[in-house]
Amino acid sequence: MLLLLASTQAVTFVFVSVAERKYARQRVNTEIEEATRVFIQFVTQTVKQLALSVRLLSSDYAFSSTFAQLRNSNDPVARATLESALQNYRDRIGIASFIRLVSSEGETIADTLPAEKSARLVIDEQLILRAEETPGFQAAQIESLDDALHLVVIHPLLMTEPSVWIAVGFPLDAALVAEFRRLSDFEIAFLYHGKVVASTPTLDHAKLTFSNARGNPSSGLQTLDVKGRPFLGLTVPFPEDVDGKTSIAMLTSLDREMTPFWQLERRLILLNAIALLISGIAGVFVARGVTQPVISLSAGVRKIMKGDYRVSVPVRTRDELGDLASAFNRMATGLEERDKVRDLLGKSVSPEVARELMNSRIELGGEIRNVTILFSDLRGFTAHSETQSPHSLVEQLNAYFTEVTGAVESAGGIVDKYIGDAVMAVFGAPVEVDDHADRALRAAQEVLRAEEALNRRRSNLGLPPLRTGIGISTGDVVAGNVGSASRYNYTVIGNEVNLASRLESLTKNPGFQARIICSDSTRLALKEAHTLRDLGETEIRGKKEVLRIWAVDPVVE
Amino acid sequence: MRTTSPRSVYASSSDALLAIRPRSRARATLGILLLYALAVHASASDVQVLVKDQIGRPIEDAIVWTEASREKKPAAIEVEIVQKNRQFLPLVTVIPVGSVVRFPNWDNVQHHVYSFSAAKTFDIPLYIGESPRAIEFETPGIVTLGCNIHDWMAAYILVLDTAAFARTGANGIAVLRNLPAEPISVFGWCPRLRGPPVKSDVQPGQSSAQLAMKLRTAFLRTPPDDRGGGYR
Repeated sequence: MLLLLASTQAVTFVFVSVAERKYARQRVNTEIEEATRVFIQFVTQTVKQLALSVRLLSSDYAFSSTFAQLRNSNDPVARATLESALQNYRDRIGIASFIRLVSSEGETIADTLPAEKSARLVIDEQLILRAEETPGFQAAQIESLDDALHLVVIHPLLMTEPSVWIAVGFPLDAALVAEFRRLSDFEIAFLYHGKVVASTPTLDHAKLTFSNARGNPSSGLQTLDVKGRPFLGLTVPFPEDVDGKTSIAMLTSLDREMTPFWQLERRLILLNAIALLISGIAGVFVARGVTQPVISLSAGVRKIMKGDYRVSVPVRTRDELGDLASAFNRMATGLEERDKVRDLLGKSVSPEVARELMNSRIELGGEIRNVTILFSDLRGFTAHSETQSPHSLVEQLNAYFTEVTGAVESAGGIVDKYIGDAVMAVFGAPVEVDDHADRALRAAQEVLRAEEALNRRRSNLGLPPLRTGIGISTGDVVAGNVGSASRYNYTVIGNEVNLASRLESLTKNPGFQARIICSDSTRLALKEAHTLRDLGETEIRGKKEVLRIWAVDPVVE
Repeated sequence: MRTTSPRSVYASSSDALLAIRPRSRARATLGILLLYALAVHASASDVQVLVKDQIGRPIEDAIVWTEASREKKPAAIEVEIVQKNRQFLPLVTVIPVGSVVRFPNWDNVQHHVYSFSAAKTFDIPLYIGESPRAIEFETPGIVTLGCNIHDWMAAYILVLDTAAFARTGANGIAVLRNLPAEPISVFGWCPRLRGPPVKSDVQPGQSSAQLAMKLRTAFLRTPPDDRGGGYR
C-alpha cells in the first residue's frame, strides 16, 4: 500500500512539476516580453526628446549667421567662430556627444569631434533624403564610432532652405542603460551587429552571443549563458534603426526567476515525504487494527477446522472487525454446544428432536421420566454370522438398522443404543410427549413392515429372511447423561428397560405367536385404540409378581 | 496697398508690372518694351517648357528662364514684398539683377526679416509699418527670406540677369518667347526643388523642352491659426 501511495505521489509530483515548470517559464517569457515593450516605448520617448532638443537648434538665427559668415568669407576667424558656436550649442544640449554641420550630400562642414574621429563616423546621404521626405524634415539613425553607439538626429539648419543640416549625436552608453535599468529588474544590453556595446553592470565582461549559427544577429527569445548562469534573453531591434544593425537585449536570470518555483518544488517534495511517513505510520496502525484481528480470526477458524470448538477471539474494537470477532466467538460457542449436544444424544438424535432440544433448552441431566422402551432383536442372526463374510454381515446389519432407526425416528423416538443385532429405543425422552406408548406401538409395526420389504429384497439376492422380535414396556426411568466426563451418552436406566428386554425374548415363545409383546402398563398408557391380544399373565424373570402381557399384531394392509 | 495671392504671379515679363510702384513702372515698362523691340527684330522663336517632378507630375508655379543673353541686360526695378497676416506676399518674386526690394510690414506684429542666402545675406531687425530700408540685390541667384521670430514665414526672390523667364501653369508648361536662334540653356526652379536649379539645353528650332525636378516634402508656410491650430 505504501508502494502504491509512493508511486501515486511520484506521478502526481512529476505532473505538477512539469506543469509548474512550463507555467513558470511562460510567465518569465511574458514578463520579459512586456518589459521589453515598455522599454521600447521608453526608448522611443527618449529619442523624441532628443530630437526635440535638436529641433530647437534649427533656425537659430545667431548660429545660422556664423555659418553664413563662414560661407561668405571662409576666413579662419569665421571658421573658429562657427566651431566655437557649435561647441556652445553642444554644451547647451548637454547630453550630446557631438554636433556636426553637413551639406545635403552628407559632407562635413564643421564638427565638434576631433578630425580623425569625425572621419570615422559617416553620416549617410540616405539619412538626409529620408529627412527630406518626412514632414518636419527630421530623421534619426544609429551609428557606431569606436565600439560606441550614437543616436544621430538630423535637422535642417534653416527650415526655409534645407541645404545645410545639423546632425546631433547622443551616446547610447552605460549611463543611458543605467537610466533605463531603473524602469525594471531586467538586465539590458545594446548590441551592434550582435555584439554588446553597452550594458548593465551584471553583464560586464560576460561573453554574450546573440547570433545564430550563421553568425547573423538573431532576435526573439533565447536562453543563453552569462558567466555560467542560465539567462533568458529577448532581443528586439532598436527603434529608429532602419538598417537593422542595432538591437536591444533584455535579459533576466533564470535562476532568480525560477527560484520561487524550485522552492515550491522542494516544499512539495518535503510535504510528500511527510505525507508518506504519516501514511506509513497510519498504515502500521491500520495493519495492527485490521491485520491482527484477521490473523487471530483465521487462527480461530483453523482450530475449529481441527475440531477444537473451544476458541475465543479477542474483541478489541467496536467496529466491523470487532463485530466479526464476537460473531465468531458466538459461532464457536454455538458449534461447541452443538457438538456437546450431539455427543450427549449419542449422534442418534433426529434433526427434529435436536432442534426441539436446541429450542426448548431441555435439561439433559438425570431426571425421572415416564417413557416407553422398545427393544428389538433379530432371530438367529448370530447363526448367519458364521457363514458369511464380515463385510457382508455388517452391510446387511446396517441395512436392517437403517430401517429400524428410520421407523423409530419417524415415530418420534430416539435410538438409545445398538447392542449387537438388538436395538433399544426410547419414546418420551428427552423430548416429552403424551403419546409415547402409541408412538412405540406404531414404530414396532413399522419395523415389521419395513422388515417385510427388506426380506423381499433379500430373497431376490438369495439371502435368507430376517425375523425381528420386539418388546415394549412403559414406566418411570432415570434419564440422563451416563458415562465419564469425556465420553457419555444420553440414556435411560430402570426396571422398565429390563422388562422390555424380557418381553422381547418372550416373542421366541411359539405359544404366544407374537412378534410384538407389550406390557400392561403400556396398554394403560395408550391414548388411541390399538388391537391387542391378551396373552394372560406370565412370570417374568427378575420380577416378583406376575405380569399381564399383550401381543400387538401387525396391521394387515 | 495691394494684396495679391501668395503665389508667384509673374507669368511673363510683362506681368512684372503688377507689383511695381508707379514711379518706377514707367521705367520698367520702357525697359521691357525696349527688350521686346530688340527681340522682335532678332530672329526669335518660342520654346514651350514642360516642368515635371520625379514621378512625372506637372509642377505648377515653377519659374523657367534662359541664361543671360548677349543682349542688353534688363533694367533694374523696384518691388515690394509685404508682410500681412503673418505671411510674406508674394511667395516668389523674380527681379533683374540690381533691383531693389522693400519690405513693408502691414501686419499687426513686428517681424524680423532676414536672409542667409549666398546671393544676398541681410536682415532687417524687428519693425512694423514702412520698410526701414530697401535692399538691393546685386548678385544673380535664389534668395530665401525668413522671419526670425516666425518659423513658418518664407518667401523667395529669384534674381536673374535675363529678361526671358516664365511661370508654369497648372499643366506645368511655361512658354519662353523670342529666344535667339542659337543653342541656349533653359533653367528651372521651384520652392520645393531639391538642389540647384535644373538645366536643359535647347537647340535652335526646338520648340519644346522638358525639365525634371526632384522635389522635397512640402514645407508648410501658412501660420498655425490658418491650419486650425497646432504647429506643423
